[in-house]
Amino acid sequence: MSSATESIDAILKKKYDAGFITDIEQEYAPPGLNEDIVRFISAKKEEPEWLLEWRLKAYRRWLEMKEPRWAKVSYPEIDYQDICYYAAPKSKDDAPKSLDEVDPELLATYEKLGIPLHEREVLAGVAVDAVFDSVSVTTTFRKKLSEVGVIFMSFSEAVQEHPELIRKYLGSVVPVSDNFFAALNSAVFSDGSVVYIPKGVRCPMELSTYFRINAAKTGQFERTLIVADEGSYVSYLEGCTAPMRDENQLHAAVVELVAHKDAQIKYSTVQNWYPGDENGKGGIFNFVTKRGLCEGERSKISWTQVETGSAITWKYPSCILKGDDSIGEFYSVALSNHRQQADTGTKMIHLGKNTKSTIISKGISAGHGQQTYRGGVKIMRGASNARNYTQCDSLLIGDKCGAHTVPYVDVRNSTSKLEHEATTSRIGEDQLFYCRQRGLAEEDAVSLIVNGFAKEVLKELPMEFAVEAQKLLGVSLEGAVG
Amino acid sequence: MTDSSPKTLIQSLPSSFEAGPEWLRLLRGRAADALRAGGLPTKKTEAWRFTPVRSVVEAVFSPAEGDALSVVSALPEGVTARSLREVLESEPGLLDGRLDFAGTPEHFAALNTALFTDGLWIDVPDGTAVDTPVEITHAIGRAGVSYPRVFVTAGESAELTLIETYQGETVGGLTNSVVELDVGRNAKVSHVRIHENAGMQVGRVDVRQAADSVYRSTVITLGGALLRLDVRSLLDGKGAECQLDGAYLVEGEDHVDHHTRVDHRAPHCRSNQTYRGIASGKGTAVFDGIVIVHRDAQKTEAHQENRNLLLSDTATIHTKPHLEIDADDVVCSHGATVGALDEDQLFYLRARGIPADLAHAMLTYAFLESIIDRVGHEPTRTRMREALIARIPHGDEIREVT
Repeated sequence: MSSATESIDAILKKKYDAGFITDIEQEYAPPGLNEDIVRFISAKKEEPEWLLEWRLKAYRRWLEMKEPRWAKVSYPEIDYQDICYYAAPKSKDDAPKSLDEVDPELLATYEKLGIPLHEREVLAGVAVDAVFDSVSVTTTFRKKLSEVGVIFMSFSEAVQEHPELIRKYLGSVVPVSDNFFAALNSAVFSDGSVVYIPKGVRCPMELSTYFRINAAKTGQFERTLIVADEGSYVSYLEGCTAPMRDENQLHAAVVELVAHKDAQIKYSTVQNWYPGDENGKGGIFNFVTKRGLCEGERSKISWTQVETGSAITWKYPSCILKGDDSIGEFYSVALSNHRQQADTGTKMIHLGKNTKSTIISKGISAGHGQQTYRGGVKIMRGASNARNYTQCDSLLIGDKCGAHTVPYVDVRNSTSKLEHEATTSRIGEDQLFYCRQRGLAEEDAVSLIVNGFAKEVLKELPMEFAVEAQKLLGVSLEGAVG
Repeated sequence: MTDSSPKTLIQSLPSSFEAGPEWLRLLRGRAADALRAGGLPTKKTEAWRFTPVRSVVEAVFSPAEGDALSVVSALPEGVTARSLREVLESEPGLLDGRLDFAGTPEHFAALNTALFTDGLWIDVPDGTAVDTPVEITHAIGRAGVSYPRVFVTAGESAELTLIETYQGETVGGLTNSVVELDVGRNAKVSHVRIHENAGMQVGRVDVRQAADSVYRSTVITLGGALLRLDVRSLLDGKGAECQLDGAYLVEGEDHVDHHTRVDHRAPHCRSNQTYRGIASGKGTAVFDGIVIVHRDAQKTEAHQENRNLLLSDTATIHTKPHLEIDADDVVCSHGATVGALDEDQLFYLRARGIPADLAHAMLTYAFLESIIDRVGHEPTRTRMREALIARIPHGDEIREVT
C-alpha cells in the first residue's frame, strides 16, 4: 500500500462532525401504519374531509405498490410498521436554552460552514423564542411578503387559510400513485411549505426554509408545493445543513412545482443529513420525489442541488416541459464518502415545442462511497425543435469507491437535438503535485480541486448558499486525498 | 422429438437430453432448467425493456431441420473449421470446459445452448497469422427457428479476420445465434458481422480476451423486422484491448436493438465503442452499452460513443450508454447524441447543385460509412460499403462520388 493510500484511509475515517442527539419530549403516534393512523394525522391537523379522503386514497394505493429496487443502492429491508408516522415536539422546555449548552463540536462545524449566528441557534434546536425572537423575524418577512401578495406558510396553515389553492394543486404534478415513496408521503405527510407567487410578482426575497423550521417542526414526510403564477419569479432555498435529530431513519419527501406562463422557479437544495458513521451504521435514507411542471409558455424551472449527506440518496428532481418554449435545468453536485450511496439524477420530459433542457451533474465518490447518476431525457413526438444538453462527470478519490452513469435517452421527434456526455476520472496526481509544490496542504489541495470540479454547479447557487456549499464540500471530504 | 406441431420456444425444450457427451447434456440440462424456471425475458426485464420481445416469446414456430452453416471462402492455410456435431461425436471430451465459457447463459443464449444441433468450430493454432478472411454465411431460408452456433479459438499470437453475414428474405422465421470467441494471449481477431436478413433475429457474441490480445468487432445492421444483438467482451488479461463498432440503418417498421457490454477485469486494458445509427419511417433503434470497470482493473481506459440521426417524426431512438466504475485510476467517458441531418452540410451540398434527396442520401451514407472506415482490411471494407450502398437511395450516384 502506498503512503498516499494510507493517508487517504486515515483521513477518510474521520467522524461526522455534527453527530449529536438532543432529547426533546415528543408527542408520538403509536408506531405502525394503518387507516387509523392516517385518520389520526389528519385529525391532528384538523384537515377538511376531502384531504383525509385524498390521504386514504394514497394509503390504499400504497398498499398495492412495491418498494422500488432498481436503484443501485443496497440497504436493509425497511419495516414500515416499525416507524412512527407522527411526531410533534411537545414542549420546548427540554431544549438547550442557549448556544452554551450545545455540543461545542457542532458549533465548530457551523463555524466552518459559516452559518450566521442566529441561524445556528435555530439549527441547533435552541428554543429560539427564549433567546432570539425568530417569531418576530418571521412576522417581519411575512408582512413584507404579504404586501406583494406572496403566500408563504406551512402546509397545515395553508390547508386552513387557502384550501382552494391546496385542493387545486396538491398532487397535480406528483400524483398519489406516482411511486411507492410518493404514495407513502401522500398518505402520512406531516407538514411542509406552501408558496404562491401571484401574477407578475417578482418575489422580493429568497424564500428559505430556515426561517420556518421552528414554526412548524417538519417531520420526515414533508411536502412542498410552489406555484408561480403568470410572469412571476421566485427563488426558493431548501437547507438541510443541520443534522437531523429524528431517530427515524426514513425520510420521504415530495416537492411539487408549478410554473405558469412566463413564470420562473429556481429551487436550490443543500442537503447534509446525517450520513451514518464510517462503517455505514445509521444515517438517513433519503427517498425524495421532486418534480416541476412548466405548465405555461416560456416558463422555466431550475433545480440546483448539493447533496453531501444521507446514507442513501434516492432523488430525481425532474421537469415536465409542457408549455412551448419552456426551459428545464438541473445542476447537481453529489458527494458520497464512507459508506454513503447516492443514486440521483433527473428526468426531462419534453412535450412542448422549442423546449430546452440542460443537465449538469457532478458526482464525487470517496472512501467506500457509491455514486450513480441516473437520468432520463424524453423528447416526445410533438416537441419540435426541442434541445437537450447533458453533461455528467464523476470524480473518484480512493480505490474502494464506485461511480456509475446510467442515462436513458428516448427521442421521437426528428427536429430535436440531444447531446449527452460523461467522463469519469480521478484527481490527477499532477494536479495535486502542483498544489502541494506551491505550499498548499494536501487537504486544501483536494478541496480546491473538488471545488473547481463542481464550480459549474456551485455558481448556480444563490450567493450565501454557494459559500456554504463550498465549505461543506471541504468538510465532507476532509482529508480524502487521492 | 419427432413431434412436428408448432410450438413456442419454451415448449420446444425437451424434457431430457440424451444425445452427445455427458458434459454437454449437463450444460443443456442446466440451460433448460433455468429457462423453465425464469422464462424468456419480458418487457419488464431491464435489459429487454425496449425490445418488443413478446412477439418472439409468444410466437409458435414449426420445428426447424438441422442447421446448416457453410464456409464460403476456401479455408486459408493454418485454419481448421470443423462441424461441431462431428467434433462432439468423434472427440467427445475435446470441447469440455471450452464451449460456453461465459457460463450460465440466460434467455435466448441459454435456449441456443439447450437446442443447437450443429455449428462450426474455427481454430487458429498458436502463432498462426491468417491474412485471408474466413467468411461464414448464414442463409436463412425457412420460417422456423434456427440455432446457429459458432465457436472460435485463436491461440497465442494468432491472427484472424472473421466475416459473418446473415441473409434471407423470409420474414416469419427466427434466428437465435450464439458466437463465442476465445482470444488467446497476444492474439488479434477482427470480427465483422453483416445483418441483411429480413426476419427476426436474436444474437449473442461472447468474447474472452487473454493478456495483450486485441479484438475488433464491426457490426453492420441493415434493417430487420426484429434484431437484437448482444456483444460482450470480457477483458480477462492485462493489457487487452477491444474495439466494438456498429452501424445500423432502420426503416419501415423495423426494430433494431444493439447491446454491448465490456467487462474490464484486468488492469491496463483499453476499450472503445462507437455505434452510429439512423432511424426513419416508423422504425425504432435502440443502443444500450455498458462498461464495467471492476475493482482491480486500474489504469483502465474506456470510451463509448453513440450517435444517432432521427429522420422522421414517427421513428424512435433510445440510447443508454452507461458506466459502472469500481476502480479509481481510470479514464472513462461516454457520449450520446440524437439529432437530424446538419442543415449547414445540406446547404453546402445544395449550393453545389446537388438535389435535395441526393444530398440527403450522401450525408446518410457518410454518417454510417465512417464506421466502415474503421475496418482495417480493405476488401472487407469494400464488401461492407457495397452492402450499405445497396440499401441507400441513389446508391449508384454515391458510388461514383466516393
